[in-house]
Amino acid sequence: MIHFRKKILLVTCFLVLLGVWIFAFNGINNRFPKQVLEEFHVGQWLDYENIQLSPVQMDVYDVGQFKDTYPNIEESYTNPSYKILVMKVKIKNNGSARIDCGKYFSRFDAVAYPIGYENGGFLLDATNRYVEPGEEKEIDTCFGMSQSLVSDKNLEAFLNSQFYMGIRAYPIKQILVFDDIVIH
Amino acid sequence: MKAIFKIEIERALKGLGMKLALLIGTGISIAHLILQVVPKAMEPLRFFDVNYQDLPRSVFNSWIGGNSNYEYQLFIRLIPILVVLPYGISFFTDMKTGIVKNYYTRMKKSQYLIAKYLSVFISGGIVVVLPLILNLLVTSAIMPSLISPGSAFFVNANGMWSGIFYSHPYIYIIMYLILNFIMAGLVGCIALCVSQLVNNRFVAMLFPFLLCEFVSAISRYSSNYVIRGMAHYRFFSISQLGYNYLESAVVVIIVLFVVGFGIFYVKGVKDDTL
Repeated sequence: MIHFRKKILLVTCFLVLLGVWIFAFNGINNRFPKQVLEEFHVGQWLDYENIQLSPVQMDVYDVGQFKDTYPNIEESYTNPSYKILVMKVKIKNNGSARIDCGKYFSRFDAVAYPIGYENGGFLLDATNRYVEPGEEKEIDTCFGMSQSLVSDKNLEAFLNSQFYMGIRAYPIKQILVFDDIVIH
Repeated sequence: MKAIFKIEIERALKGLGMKLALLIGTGISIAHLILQVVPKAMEPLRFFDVNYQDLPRSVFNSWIGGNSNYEYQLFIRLIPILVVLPYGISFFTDMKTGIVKNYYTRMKKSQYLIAKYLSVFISGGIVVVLPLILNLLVTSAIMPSLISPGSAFFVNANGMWSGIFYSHPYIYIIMYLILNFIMAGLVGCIALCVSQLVNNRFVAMLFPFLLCEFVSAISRYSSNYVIRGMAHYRFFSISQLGYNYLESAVVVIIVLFVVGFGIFYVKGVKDDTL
């Protein structure tokens, strides 16, 4: 009889704790719900402050090919095992003042999902960083990828990932998706 | 076989060693909750900026296995001792006290040895996984379940199962807890194996700890990633501060099982006890 009562007590405690956990779990996740995903593909424009952004193309280079393609870029990637991602993005200035793209692109990250590559980048051409009011231009942004971020072993999974540029993370997750990926 | 397993697992789960191991493990887990999780839960929007790439603080980078924190490092270091506490040296004490004779006169040696191995394996797995589950449950009740690839999370593209972590984080954690359970169980069984070979209970009890520390120290010198991944502080780490590799886990599991169970079983069957 005592053994039976102990069992009933344990089951009751378990059910009470389970109920409290479910209540708390739902409560916190209702207060901070999962991000609402907004994807922007080629030809679609994302509104961000007083500018608009649209993805164009992503290129994957190794160091040699990168230097051949962009001989005037000062950034020196000396490690031959590096890969370099170049994301080309159209930017439209809807404001009334000239903007510096560097200010915006320093906030955005390149991501390979779901493998989990994430890195900040820089504008490839420092002389092409200003956009006049009403002007639309294409900007190349560059993201390095060392072995410590993605090793050769994981390269295939990396290249099969979805590539995007993260613009906002929460509560609305806005991303520029690069469907057109050129591996050089 | 069923009857002896029931007796052995009951001895393992209800013993003082199990209570002590769980007390230490849950103590560390609760300390982490109080020192790390509760302060973050009080202000989950700290560092969050709506215009940038930050998320509010999340369960996946706040729970004990979600980042690098002192409590988790301590817990991982103590695992080789915790897993032995519940039942790791029970074979040694069974032999010394003569209880084993009662078993051997009533059943086949192999049945007793397998039941003993399974009991040590399960008790070792429980003492590692239960404190982590407790911490995860409490953290998930007070922190939101948000995830997105970014610097706020420790698992990067080279990490084992990173694709699962960023798409189905709870499944990743469950898979890792299963892996931790298996690893912990096998590490606990090293003590069983050693208790066949030595005549001192403390040597048997501390051998898994010394072996793990030795392998961890030696593996640093290797340039081979599979060998480097065999350090216990790496393969038990769910946040993967040093990348983990499935190959390392598979090698560790096979070696620990084949050597541990092999020596324990073969020597146990061959040795004359009665």
